[in-house]
Amino acid sequence: MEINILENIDPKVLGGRLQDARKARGLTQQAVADEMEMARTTLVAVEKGERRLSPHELIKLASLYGRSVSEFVSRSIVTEGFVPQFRHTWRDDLTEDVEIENVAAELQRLAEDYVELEKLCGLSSTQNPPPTYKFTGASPEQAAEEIAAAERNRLGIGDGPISNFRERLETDVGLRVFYFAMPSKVSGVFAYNDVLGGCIGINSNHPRDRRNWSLAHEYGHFLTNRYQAEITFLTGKKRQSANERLADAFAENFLMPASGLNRRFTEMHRASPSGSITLAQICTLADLYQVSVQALIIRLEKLRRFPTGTWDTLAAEGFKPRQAQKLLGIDANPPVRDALPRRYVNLAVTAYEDGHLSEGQLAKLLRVDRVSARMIVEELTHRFNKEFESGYASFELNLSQNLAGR
Amino acid sequence: MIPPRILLIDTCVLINLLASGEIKLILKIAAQQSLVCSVVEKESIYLRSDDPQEGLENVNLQPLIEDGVLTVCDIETPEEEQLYVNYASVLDDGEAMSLAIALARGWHLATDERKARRLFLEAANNADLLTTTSTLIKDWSEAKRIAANRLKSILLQIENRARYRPSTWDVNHQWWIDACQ
Repeated sequence: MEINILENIDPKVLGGRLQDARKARGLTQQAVADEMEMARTTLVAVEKGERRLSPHELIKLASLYGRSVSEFVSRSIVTEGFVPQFRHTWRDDLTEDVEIENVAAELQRLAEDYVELEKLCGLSSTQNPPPTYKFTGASPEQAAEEIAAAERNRLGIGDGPISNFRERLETDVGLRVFYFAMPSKVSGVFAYNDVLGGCIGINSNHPRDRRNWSLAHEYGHFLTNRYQAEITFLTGKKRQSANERLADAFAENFLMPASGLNRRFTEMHRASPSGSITLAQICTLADLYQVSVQALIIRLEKLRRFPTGTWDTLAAEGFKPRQAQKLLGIDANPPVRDALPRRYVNLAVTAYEDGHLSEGQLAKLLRVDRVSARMIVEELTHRFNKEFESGYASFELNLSQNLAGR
Repeated sequence: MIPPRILLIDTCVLINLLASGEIKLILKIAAQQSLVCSVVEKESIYLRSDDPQEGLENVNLQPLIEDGVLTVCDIETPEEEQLYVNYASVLDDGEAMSLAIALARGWHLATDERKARRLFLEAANNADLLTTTSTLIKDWSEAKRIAANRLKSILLQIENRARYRPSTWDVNHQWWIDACQ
């Protein structure tokens, strides 16, 4: 390679990435400067983009920060990252907890990787974001109900349970949705900018119902207040703001629209021999809507189908939804099947097959080891021969092939 | 006769040789010295277990290093540092460091990686310096007259445990297919 990448890369961009990596590692400028045997002012100048690095210095810094060198020099996306947005709104939380800052940084890396893949494959983003909904005059809860109904109408999905919720958000709304491990207290994160688009990260360690709720909640933020980065905490932290109330009410109304749920409840009532609704029916209904039993019962309380306090009474009596669902043969907590968007994986495999990505780059983009990456390529191309009793049969079924013009 | 060369092995080839179960024997006749770079040494390498229920198993390179089958090398000069950082902009770190060291020192490089091979050839313009998993195994099997059944078993081990089969561009693609029959 003739070019010197460090002379071609914008020093401010590189400095910003190095600063983010240092902070994510929890290191002070002085500690790093000491380790690097340079003055702190020199490191300050590097992070501000006022001094260029030598290859030796970059290799040493990457090692200190526990990062790969490629992470600093391979990205072509130049945009203000999500981390400063999170810091702006969530300064206290990010300062006290490096893990939370790492969640924001991972969301940014995934989003940048996605945009890099689109560029590599010569594609534009699928982003075609709907306009932001305004909600002046109404309470957050009233506004949420109206927005949820309008959005369902815009997407043409009626008032029933939503199947393939994540895929709909990705293909019909243009959101980038990633599942990855986060501290247990964090349910999800949302951030948006004009280059990376709307990006949602969901805690992959949480149960399915919680993940779905978090997804709808973050979607609510995207529809109403997309330029403010959001972290959603599990324990009701920061839940008092109008934005948070609206996002939660949006999730409730979007996942369980009043009209459809009332209709189903009435039908259930009619079909019941005794005219009563059982816990088994509620557990099944919650599974149909892919929400928790608790969320469904509270929703039915609000719709006046159950007396207020029904859930509290059940909980006080020791009712355990998970046990009940298990008895009913309902698997309400399947693991996350696709941590990355399917389109993202397809683009990565296509770029690899076309020789634009190396195997190491592919594995890194897919967040797996190399053999697992090979298996993903194999699954999408079905290039391997199959052994039958009569011998080998060779076939190729490339699921990522372009069908246009065939 | 052992070729008078120093061979640097990239991760993709290393995984395949480890999956073969015969890495010691194959490398013994592949070069006078076989090396991996420090980034490759630190990479977590997984193979599919023989038992499909077991998932992936982590491979420890230390015994091979202690036995002298593999030697670990690192970037040493400013020229190598420059090459490493440049290649890290288009490859992953292990691939970039392998390429940088092999190019700077004129060593042979074992890689099945299409992109890494292209970049290597652009810089070195000498295809003789490149080798692949299939060439290493083919040369070994011919030099040691490995029985067809044993060879088939080794290649199938690589296919199953490392999920690797040479691409159609590989000169030994058909040889591999035939040997697996």
